[in-house]
Amino acid sequence: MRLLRAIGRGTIAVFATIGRISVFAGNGLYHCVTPPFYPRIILRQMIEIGYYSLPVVGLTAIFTGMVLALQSYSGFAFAGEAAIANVVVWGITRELGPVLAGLMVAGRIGAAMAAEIGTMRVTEQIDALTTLSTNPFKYLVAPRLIAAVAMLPLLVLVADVIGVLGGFIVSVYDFGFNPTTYLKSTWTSLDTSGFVSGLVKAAVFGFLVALMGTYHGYNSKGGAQGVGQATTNAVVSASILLLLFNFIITALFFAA
Amino acid sequence: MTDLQPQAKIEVRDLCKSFGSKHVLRGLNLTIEAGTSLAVIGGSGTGKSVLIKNIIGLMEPDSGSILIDGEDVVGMSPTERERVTRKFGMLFQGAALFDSLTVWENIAFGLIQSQGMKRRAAREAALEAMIQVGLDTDIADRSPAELSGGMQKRAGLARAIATKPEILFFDEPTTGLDPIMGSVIDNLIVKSVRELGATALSITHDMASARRIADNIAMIYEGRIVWHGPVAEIDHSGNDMLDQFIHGRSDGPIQLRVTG
Repeated sequence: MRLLRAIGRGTIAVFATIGRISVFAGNGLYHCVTPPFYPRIILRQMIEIGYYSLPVVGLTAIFTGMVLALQSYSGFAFAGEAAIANVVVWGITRELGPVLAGLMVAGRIGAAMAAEIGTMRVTEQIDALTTLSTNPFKYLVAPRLIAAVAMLPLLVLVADVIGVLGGFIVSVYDFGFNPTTYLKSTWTSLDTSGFVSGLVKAAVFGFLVALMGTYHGYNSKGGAQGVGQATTNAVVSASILLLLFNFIITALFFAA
Repeated sequence: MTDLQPQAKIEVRDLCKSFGSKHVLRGLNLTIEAGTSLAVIGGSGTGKSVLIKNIIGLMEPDSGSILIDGEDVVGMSPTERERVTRKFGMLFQGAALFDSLTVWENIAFGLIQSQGMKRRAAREAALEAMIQVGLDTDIADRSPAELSGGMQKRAGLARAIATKPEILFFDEPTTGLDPIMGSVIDNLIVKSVRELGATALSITHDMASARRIADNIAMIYEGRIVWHGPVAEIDHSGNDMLDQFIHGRSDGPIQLRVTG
């Protein structure tokens, strides 16, 4: 009996949370498409998410590209340089580019959003917005969702280029491949659907990261500890959701 | 017809609000006449903040009605609600200044965002409001985090009055300030309310402050108003609960449950 009760309670809690997040997301999306808009804040968020994440995402991408080349060299040595270029391009554009950029941004931006909005919640700044006739969803949530969805694909584009470059560096300078042939095989390996799926993933990941950051920040309570908790929850839940949706999108694109 | 009678600016009828099994407001009634200043006093956890949050629209009551200028705001659509909210200005306990904005942007926030004023004109208006509350205009471009507690309260007051609201709310205006700064803020509140001709609702547990800023006092206990009258009468109200509260006695009809 007690076990059943615990299972039941757990299940209800999970669905209640999913429901709350869905309502929050619906609300957020609604306010993304209805005026007033706050271009100044959207721009500031875009710079924060896009520009300031470049170093982290770039470093992650270059090392990942290099490692991919190294690993595939030992694995596919018999297949030659075309195979290595292929593995690097597919690996980076389809999976590792979007996933690693998404995870890095979840750590950087999701946490920052949760901490900032959470602090605004516990210091009554969100209440103050309401008393100044400003909808906190429009002012805080919508601009972050818009900025993240817009910037993540661009970040992933950069990550793709830098990741492929990492593979190129290792292949040319370490394995001594011919740079022209390697670039040529890179170009022929690049397939539209794989590349596009990576960018679609990026947009979805951007949405998830911003959604988790704002949701946990917005609902944080109980002072500094609550804000810390919100920050942790934002990063962990964004990372898990990101990997889940990575699987779903991959299945949708390629399983048929 | 309504012009002949003193119209109630805010009227709260039979307001109830519970959190789980905790009944915070239990059928609270309260009327505030236009142009008067009321201080709601009461101990911690008696429902003061819940009352003010319900009136402003940060919380939805379980039952009862709240009339602002005769309009019931309970169950209003968000757009209509926003129209009513434009009449409000509020000074929060911790000032609640936006720390991502400068001091003047904070003060001009309502002017820019809800009244659509141009930034340059809004800055001028903000500087004017700063002078009104005795803030040095040199700090206009600083971040709120660089200000002292008293200066933050002043900036919060400037932000609340900048939009020239009809109704001003003050949440524990003197909490966290030294007695002298508390008195300075109280005087500024009285001056601002008078200059705007606004109706004011303050919640406080600081009796000295309540006497300075209010025309009328209402005492809240266990989610109801137990006494309501002019500030001059509080010392001989004949109400035991009010007597106990204003003299800060630990024995009397109000028993604090101290647990743990």
